[in-house]
Amino acid sequence: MSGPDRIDAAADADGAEEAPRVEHDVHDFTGPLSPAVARLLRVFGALCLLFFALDFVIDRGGHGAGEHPPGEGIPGFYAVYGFAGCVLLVLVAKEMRKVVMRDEDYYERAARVSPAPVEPSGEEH
Amino acid sequence: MVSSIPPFFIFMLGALFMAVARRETRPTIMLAVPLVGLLHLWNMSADAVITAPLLDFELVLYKADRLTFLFGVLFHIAAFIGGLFSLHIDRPGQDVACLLYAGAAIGAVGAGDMITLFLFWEVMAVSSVYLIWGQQSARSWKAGMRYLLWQVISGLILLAGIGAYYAGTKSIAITEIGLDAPGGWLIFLGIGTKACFPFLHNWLIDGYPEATPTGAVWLSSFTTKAAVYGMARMFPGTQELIVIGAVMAAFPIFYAVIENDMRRVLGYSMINQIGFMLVGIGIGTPLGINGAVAHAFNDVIFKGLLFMTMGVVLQQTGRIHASDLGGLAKSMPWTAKFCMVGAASISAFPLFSGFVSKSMIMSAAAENHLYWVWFILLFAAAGVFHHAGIKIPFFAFYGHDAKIKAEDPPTSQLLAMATSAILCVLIGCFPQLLYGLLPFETDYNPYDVAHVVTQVQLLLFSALAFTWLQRSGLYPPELHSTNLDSDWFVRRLGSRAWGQLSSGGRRLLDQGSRNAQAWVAKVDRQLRRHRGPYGVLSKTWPTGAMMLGVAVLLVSYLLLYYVQ
Repeated sequence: MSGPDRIDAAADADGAEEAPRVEHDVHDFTGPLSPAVARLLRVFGALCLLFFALDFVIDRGGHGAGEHPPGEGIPGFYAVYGFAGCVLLVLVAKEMRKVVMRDEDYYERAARVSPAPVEPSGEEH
Repeated sequence: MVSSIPPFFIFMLGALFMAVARRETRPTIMLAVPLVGLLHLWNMSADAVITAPLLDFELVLYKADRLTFLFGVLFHIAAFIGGLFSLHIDRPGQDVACLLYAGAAIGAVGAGDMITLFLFWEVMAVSSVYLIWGQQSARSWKAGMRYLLWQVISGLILLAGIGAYYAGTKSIAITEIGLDAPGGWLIFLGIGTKACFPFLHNWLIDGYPEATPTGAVWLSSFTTKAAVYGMARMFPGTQELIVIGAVMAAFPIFYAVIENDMRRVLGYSMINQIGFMLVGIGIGTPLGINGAVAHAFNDVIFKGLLFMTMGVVLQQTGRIHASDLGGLAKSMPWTAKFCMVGAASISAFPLFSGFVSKSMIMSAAAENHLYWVWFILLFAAAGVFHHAGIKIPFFAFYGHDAKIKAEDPPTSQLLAMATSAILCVLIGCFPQLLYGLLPFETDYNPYDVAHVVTQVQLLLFSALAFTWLQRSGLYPPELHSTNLDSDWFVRRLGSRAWGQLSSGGRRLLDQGSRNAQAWVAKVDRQLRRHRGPYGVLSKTWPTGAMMLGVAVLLVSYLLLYYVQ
């Protein structure tokens, strides 16, 4: 169950080993895999396949209160929905950054800047 | 006799003792209060009613029923775990605030009338802000202020609603009131503010991550869950809650993916979980309400556990951003394990607590043919696994090794996390323990083959998506940043508008004060001329002049006399 976490845990063991910490650590997991991680990933892939296949074998009729949303009964529905949903989630969130992302001290700076034009008018005269 | 003491009283008394206790007795009080309270609650009769007169009203301080009992038990457990977690540091002020806060939450879920509810609502607001201020930084001071402001506003809206309700119905009893009751919308929004309705949610995202490592654990347990209780009590079956809940389940997960501060990620996932609960309450069937309440119970435990692990990370490393962390599993093995249990629970893995409650809500949605809600909830369930189930443990404990020197926290904190973790697994494996406490009788069985297989399938393929996105480099990097949320409207737009307004106002004021100054100067000049040191009126006149004056006066008097 904790498969993916542990897998990628070691994924970078051979990656960003020597780079000293900088302001922004780049967490890059696209590099080559160590044998241990590759093995874990294979096990994980096998599990995915197994549960995908199981869906064709078991009878899902008895689940829940007997009500099925449209499409839910198709074997593999949960797999496709979960995968597509998560990819969509991440890609949309990534695009969202263009709109909502600001510097870390955005509000602090705003607080420093915004009263500024107000103050002099009180002192000048 | 014993059952004439309302459960919250024990906490208030405990807080009083805590305030005056010596250093060595404080830990005992901290742990004893929830235990004694729980024992007391357990022994109270199932139909106990405790009243107290106030002015013209008969306040109902405690009114027992199944829903109240469940939340009461939950808050006692949460207080015990929170107490155990904060045992290692001596902060008498914070400890008093914690006990008051927990006591107020217990009082709020036991209240039988709205005035009592309102009073506890306010005590909760005021006592909890100390957990944010306890961080003692300028940032937390300001965040605490904003948090307090929101909490007080929520209380005021509630109070206005209570007033309207009383005016319309001449009753203050807490029952199912619905939106059509007089003041119904106000009460709904007042409670909704604490339940993090969209656009009213930012106090949580803003405040909780600024709290002390221990304070955040307490905060995560009470306020929002008391609001969920209020909704379940007063607005079950309200259609609007389904829409609101579905929105709340969906939108925070997008933010959680791009958020870097781990405790803020947990804040977003908290709103997501409350969304599930509100959907259940909105559906309003016994299965829906049961699911919502059961999920609230589980959420307090597993979300508390996750907040504990992240609090420990912050406390032991001084870092809380995903981009600065990584590889802590080697140096903090126990914390990592407990975090995995919390992550598995919130993601609803079979054998963990989330699995036995989240599916009740989903089944209730399907049962009522609310298919669009069902699809959103399923998406949210996959999403919460993605950010809370994978992202939190992965970036903190595994992934990139940030080479941080750290170690597991003190034993008392490990014990607190262990208690939560055990509860997560216990409820996950023996759901009947929890189902027996639910407000409605249920024979729901989460462990049928189809449910287990489909759920595992959903989670495995969500994890596959994460792995693929990471391997292909599509996953957005963790960056130090601020993500604009609805608080922008208040903190930026509002503060700008305020700036404009106040600069306009100040200009007017300046003009006025300049005018006034000129006028005062003029008067002053006149006064000086006549009454100043050399003014004509303050001169020392010779006696002769006085004599002359008197003579003139007498002569004119004489003249007048003769004229007449």
